[in-house]
Amino acid sequence: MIRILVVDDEQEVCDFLQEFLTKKNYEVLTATSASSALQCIKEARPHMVLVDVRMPEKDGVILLKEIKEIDREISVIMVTALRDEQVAKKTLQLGADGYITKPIDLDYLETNILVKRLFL
Amino acid sequence: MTEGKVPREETIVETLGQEDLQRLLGDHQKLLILYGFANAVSRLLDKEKLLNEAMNVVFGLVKAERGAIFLVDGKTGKLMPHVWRARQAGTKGNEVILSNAVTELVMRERKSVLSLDAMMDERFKGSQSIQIQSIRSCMCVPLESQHRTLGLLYVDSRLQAGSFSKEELTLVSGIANQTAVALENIDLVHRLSEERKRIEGILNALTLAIISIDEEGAISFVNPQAMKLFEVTGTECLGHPYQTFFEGGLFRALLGLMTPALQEGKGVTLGEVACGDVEKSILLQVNIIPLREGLVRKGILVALDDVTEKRTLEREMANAEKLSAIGEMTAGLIHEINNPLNIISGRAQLLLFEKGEDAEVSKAARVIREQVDRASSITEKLLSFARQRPPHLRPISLHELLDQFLETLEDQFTLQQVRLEKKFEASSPSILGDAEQLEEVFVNLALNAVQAMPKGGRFTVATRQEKETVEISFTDTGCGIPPDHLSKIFIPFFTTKSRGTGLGLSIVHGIVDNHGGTLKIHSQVGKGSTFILTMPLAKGGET
Repeated sequence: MIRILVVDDEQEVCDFLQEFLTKKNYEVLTATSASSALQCIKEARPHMVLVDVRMPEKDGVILLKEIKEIDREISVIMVTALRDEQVAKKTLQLGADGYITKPIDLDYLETNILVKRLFL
Repeated sequence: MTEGKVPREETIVETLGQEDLQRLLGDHQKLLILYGFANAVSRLLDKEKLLNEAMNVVFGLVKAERGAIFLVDGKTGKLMPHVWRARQAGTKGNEVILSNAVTELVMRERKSVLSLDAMMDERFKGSQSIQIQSIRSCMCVPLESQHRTLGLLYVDSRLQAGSFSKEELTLVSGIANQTAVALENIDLVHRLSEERKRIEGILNALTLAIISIDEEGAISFVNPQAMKLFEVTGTECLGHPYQTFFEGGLFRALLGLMTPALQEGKGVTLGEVACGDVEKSILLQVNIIPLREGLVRKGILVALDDVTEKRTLEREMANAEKLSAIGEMTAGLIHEINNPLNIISGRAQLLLFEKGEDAEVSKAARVIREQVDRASSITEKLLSFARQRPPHLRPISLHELLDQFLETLEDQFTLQQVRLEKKFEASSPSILGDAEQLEEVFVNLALNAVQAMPKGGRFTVATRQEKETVEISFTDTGCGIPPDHLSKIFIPFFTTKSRGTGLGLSIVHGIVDNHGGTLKIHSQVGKGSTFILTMPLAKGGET
């Protein structure tokens, strides 16, 4: 089963994504901070991580770098509330596998995940 | 002579001896020379010509061997030679060396000096210059003005003593006095003309348009700014009645202010007067100053300051500042709004996914999602407004870009019964711009135009190349923009459409600004609007 980690500082976001993805037959883990996300990645080795760009303490861009340092094979999809071409470019250069904006279109998210799954 | 009887001429001549007759004729001749000089100098405005003339006259009157006129230099206070004269061939005029002893005496005493034999004269005892030059007779007369000594007139003779008489000294003094008066006049005229030039210089350097009107109502002065403002040349208006000046088109509003000012000597200071018509209008600061000499009215001075551009700039700057502040605030705001929207939308989607078969739930979830999308699209637009990235400028073929964007809107035009008209410049101007951003500008302007013509109409896109810019105009035959809306349409969120975000034109404004271009609007309610975009040409100009 494909394991997906959802990282967002808002618990509500983690919750509905978990509910949705679970219903779509993914194993879903959640984390509301970058540090707990890293802990989870080391322990559970998810196949894919959804990372919120703006988070307190450590933001999503730094987390992306650290995930790729741990394992380049983990797919990372960036999620942002503020569309920003510069940030999008930067994250893609750092190895992000996708960049989607909030409000998240769940169908679009699923398509993205399905495409990534082909390569997992 | 018997009282009441006038002697006949022959009687006088008969009673005079030959010698007396010669003397009388000589005196008559001298009077004529003096009269002629007085006449001539009153018209002379050239200092050197005047002094030459004076020297000529003196040489005509007395048997001087050498002569010179010296003037006190205004800066150094020293006597400087201006005219020399020598009667005998071989004696150079500029060899005239003054005796300090003589000049010092004349300048100090401010009185004429006559020496019948200078070499023997007690007053000049010990003067080397007189001895070396063997000056025998000499006359030196100060050129006296009312307050100061302007210089001196000097004649001498080295040939014989007693060359000059006291009578001749009186004559030469007369010449000197007239010369001094004439010199003073020349100086006054010169100073007046300098002063006039200085004042004109000041008036010409002012950014104000200055018009002076005399008490008869005729224009007596206009500075270059006024000529530019009124589009006339000096000769076209000087001496003409002020009415002809102010009658034409733009300035009729001012005409009514002039008459009371001229007739009653009332000054007027008006904040700003809007002059003009539909075609062109300007904003003038008006100041009418009555001119007086004592109690006598001497016409008026009209000072006009064209503040049109200044006010426009101020307005644009205020807008720009507002836009930038709003921009910063917006980015933060959008982030905060999008997060809860994300959760609402996520939950609604989840509801649809789980309970989609329940019609009521499905409808509610759909509406929630749609409304979230609507709110989100506003933040999206707001973001592109707040996050206007600097344009990536590169030369673009303007007409190609316009054709491309018009093609994408073709269906829309047909659907809305809008007839498209292209009036492109024959040349193919190349502009410096960011194609993507410019397309956003064009689309925004075109869609606004289409929306302004709900019953269809004509949409004209025209280009016109200038020296360093190109004008792109978008004209519709729609409802037009009311004048009180014109100043607000670039303000974010200002909208008259029921479902508009009020951001389109703010974005357009920002992009055009970032491109170094300008955007102007002409609009008439019920007739339509024209948006004129002026963009800098790329170097080389054509593609």
